[in-house]
Amino acid sequence: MGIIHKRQVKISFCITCMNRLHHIKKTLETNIKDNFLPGMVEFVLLDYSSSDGLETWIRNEMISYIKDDVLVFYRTPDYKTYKRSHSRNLAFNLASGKIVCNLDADIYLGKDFAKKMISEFQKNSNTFYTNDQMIGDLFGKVIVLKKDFLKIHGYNEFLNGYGFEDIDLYTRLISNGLKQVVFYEKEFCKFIEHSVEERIINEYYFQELEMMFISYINPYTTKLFILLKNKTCKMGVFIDNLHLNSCSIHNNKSINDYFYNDLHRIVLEEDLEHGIWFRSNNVLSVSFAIEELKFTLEEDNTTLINEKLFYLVSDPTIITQAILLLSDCENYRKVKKSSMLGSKINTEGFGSGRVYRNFDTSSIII
Amino acid sequence: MLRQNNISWNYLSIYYNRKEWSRLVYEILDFEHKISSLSLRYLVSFSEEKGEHIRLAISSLQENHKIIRHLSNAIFSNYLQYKPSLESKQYIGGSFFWMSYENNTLVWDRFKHIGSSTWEREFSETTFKLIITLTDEDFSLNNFLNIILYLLVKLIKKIHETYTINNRNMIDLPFINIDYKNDQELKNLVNEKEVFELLDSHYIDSEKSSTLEKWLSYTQYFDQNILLSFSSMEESLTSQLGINSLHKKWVLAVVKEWYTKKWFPQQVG
Repeated sequence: MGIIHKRQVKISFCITCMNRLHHIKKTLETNIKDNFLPGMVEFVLLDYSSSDGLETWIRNEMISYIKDDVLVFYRTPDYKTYKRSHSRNLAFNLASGKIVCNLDADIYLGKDFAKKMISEFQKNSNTFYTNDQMIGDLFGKVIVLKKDFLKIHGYNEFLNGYGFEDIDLYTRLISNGLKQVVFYEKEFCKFIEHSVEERIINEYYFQELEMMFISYINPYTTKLFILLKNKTCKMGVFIDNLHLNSCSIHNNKSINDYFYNDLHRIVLEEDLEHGIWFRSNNVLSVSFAIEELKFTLEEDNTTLINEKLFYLVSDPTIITQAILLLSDCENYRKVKKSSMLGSKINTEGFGSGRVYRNFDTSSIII
Repeated sequence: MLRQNNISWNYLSIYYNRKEWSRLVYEILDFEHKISSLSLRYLVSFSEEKGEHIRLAISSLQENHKIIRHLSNAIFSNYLQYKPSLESKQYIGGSFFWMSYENNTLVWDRFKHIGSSTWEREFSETTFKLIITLTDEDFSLNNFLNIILYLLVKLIKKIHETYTINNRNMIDLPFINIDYKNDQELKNLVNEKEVFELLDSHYIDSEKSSTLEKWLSYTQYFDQNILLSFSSMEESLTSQLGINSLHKKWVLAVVKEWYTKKWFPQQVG
């Protein structure tokens, strides 16, 4: 595993958490005990405005680790919904280690993972590490030198919601000259299985959703129309290229090339249409940039919009599936566009916010 | 069509009501025989993605590609015209994200290759032959799940008989993360007593057909790597039978619970 000398570099495991106390209860102490190296390992837990009692539980149950300086607890009370990129950037900025690791609340590190990573970075400083990207639950786990993370301006905060923010980060790290190393050891690949809904339940689209409609064009093309509580709305067409091209040969140079190939994923046909909506009696009025629409919801929960039949979606599984696709495809499209335009990431800074440390609300860090 | 070296593949999805798959399977077996001199591999799998259908993946030398395509199209189009299935289950708009293909249609080149190794393809052919003997013409999801449970128990028994393994490896089969008691979706699907008694009887029963023997013999491809043999064969089996992720989790959760209670009762919480 590698000999750890005194004055080794420190690794910070950064956990961002909104209403995942039930996962933290299972993983946090195990992870700390499996990687207990005071002075060389730090767990940075960022409570991202949770309302499930996370702070109280940490104060009651984990105080000894805070006193040992193994665990640092930060809380920001300012957010109604979970922002993946921003929360991680904030946590990474707060980390004191030279090596930083994004660790989701439902992931087990495995015994001596920290030791292994410290040893790896001693041998290869021009790398970053990820799990096998074919395992969805482990997608986000990345270990990188903090200086390299800061150099590329962290996670892209223009990408809201679930999906593709990890791939984008890894691609920029690679473009910046780092080598991606994947680890497959079973002992470092354990996680808590949970519902798909739990991935997005605290995110913007899920929290703000008022109504969702679907129109079917053919078995690989679907139109989605969502109305949000803030009176905005979005409409877009999804194409299932994964299905259309499923038997083609994949000649991708790298894992990340695979993820950037339009032919092998579900994509938005065009940019989403954005509009505003309001309801008057039974009539819904929607204004998009180039047209205004009015429609009513029939008793069978269908409606005609521009002569196309739309169905109201009430099945929670389909709502979850649609939001995941919307979020992921929207992010993918943003990344491809900004890559084509050569746009810079987070030009106005990243990971900023008000937090307080270890329950001390009298001292806010910005 | 997929072309690699001098081998090409035809991929055909036959959309047909699941309740009548037994009829279609006869036609598929008959067609396999008809083109046996032209085809190299004839892989059959089942799916409900975008509608209930049976998939044929047929490989051949490139020079035979077009004729196989033409024959498949002709024979199955004719079959669908004269023996169409009843309409498949009705889905209510809004209860799915992608619509299904129409029932009684042929769709070309819309599914993924069944594995790329010789082992995977041979195993797939053997699995199909075995499934035909086990279904008793019942291709319902329920029966498929029963068959999978049966085969996984037989696989575990084969592993026990074949390998000298320490206790830790026995429990470390790849369902370790699944906990159906804390999973709302799964909890309601499991009737422990009934299922466990059934699994016990599968384990005890020593009768084996030659097809089952052959299927179980594929464990030898993995040297002594028990985890890999179990997970590879399980993955291939559930994929070929078109089992969705929820039902797959259910199967593995049940097998884990049965396995733990039977051999490691002290670990049962």
